[in-house]
Amino acid sequence: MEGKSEKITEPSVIIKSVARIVFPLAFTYGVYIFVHGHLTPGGGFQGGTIIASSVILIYLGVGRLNIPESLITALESIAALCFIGLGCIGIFKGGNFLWNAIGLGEAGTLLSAGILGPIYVFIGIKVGTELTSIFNNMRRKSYEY
Amino acid sequence: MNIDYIACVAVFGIGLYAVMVKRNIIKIIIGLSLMEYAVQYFLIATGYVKGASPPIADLPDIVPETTAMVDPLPQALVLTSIVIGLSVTALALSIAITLYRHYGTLDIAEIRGLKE
Amino acid sequence: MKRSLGYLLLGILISVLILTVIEVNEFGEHSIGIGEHYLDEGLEEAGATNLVTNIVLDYRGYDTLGEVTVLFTATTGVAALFWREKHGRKK
Repeated sequence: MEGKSEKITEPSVIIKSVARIVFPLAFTYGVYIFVHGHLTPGGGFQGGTIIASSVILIYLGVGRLNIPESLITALESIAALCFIGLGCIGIFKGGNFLWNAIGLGEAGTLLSAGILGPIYVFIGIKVGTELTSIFNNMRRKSYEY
Repeated sequence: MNIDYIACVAVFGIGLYAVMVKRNIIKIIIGLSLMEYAVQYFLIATGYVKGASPPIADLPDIVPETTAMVDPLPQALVLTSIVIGLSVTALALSIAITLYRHYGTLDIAEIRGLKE
Repeated sequence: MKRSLGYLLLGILISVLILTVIEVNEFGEHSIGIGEHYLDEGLEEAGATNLVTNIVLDYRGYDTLGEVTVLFTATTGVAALFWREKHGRKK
């Protein structure tokens, strides 16, 4: 249980520096995958998982993340509300919920396909922050070094 | 004699054996995940067309009218199923951590015995 | 006795599944039903070049809404299970 004595040693300098270098690259790669979700393979769920993996790398290698936890949960709820708000645009313009009300644009460019692009951005933010929050709850707080 | 579908059923059988027989909670959760992955892989494998390309259109050359493409519908449904499998595994592991902190052991035979 | 009965039922279930799976279409020859309609008309009805995104967000958008709800419920459940360790008792 909790009371057993376990020696926790700090990770070596190599792991700490490499984790700090890899984190922005992996984060940018995850953002690229969910922003281009309607053009290349991937999408919101896959990009969100890559973002959560890069944050877990920081937790394992460096020890803690200097972002308050309330900000992460607030970001998740705001992303969910924006997803439903984009769905309600269809109701105001005369159709059903989640109807493609904005113009379709030219297929193959970044600003195409109506509301499908922004919806994947919000889903990506939501899934990334949710998996980070799950991992943050599960780890033992006394391991911070 | 589809050897690929029989492999899916075999992985499902291994997962079911792990859930039924093993006594460690973590092994039971691994068996549950194995069963889910076997069914998801079977669903995707039914949509395969020999010699076809992924369902992504690349506008001047690769359009659905001229190129043979794989069936996109099972892929879209399995995407949802994978996320639901993740949620089930996360909640099951949280329950396992809470059980360990409360009872001190991960053996379900001992935990069931402690209740009486 | 109970253990051998369990193994027998497992064997019966797996053999029934294998006998069913052999009769499905040959692996690689797929008779595309409604997937054909999604492949042909999807590009002009919904506009995204990734045809799977097309299905997930435009033709079957309600399933994505349900899945987002399931993920949110799982996160709330995990936070609720670990609440006492973070905030102490009697809260």
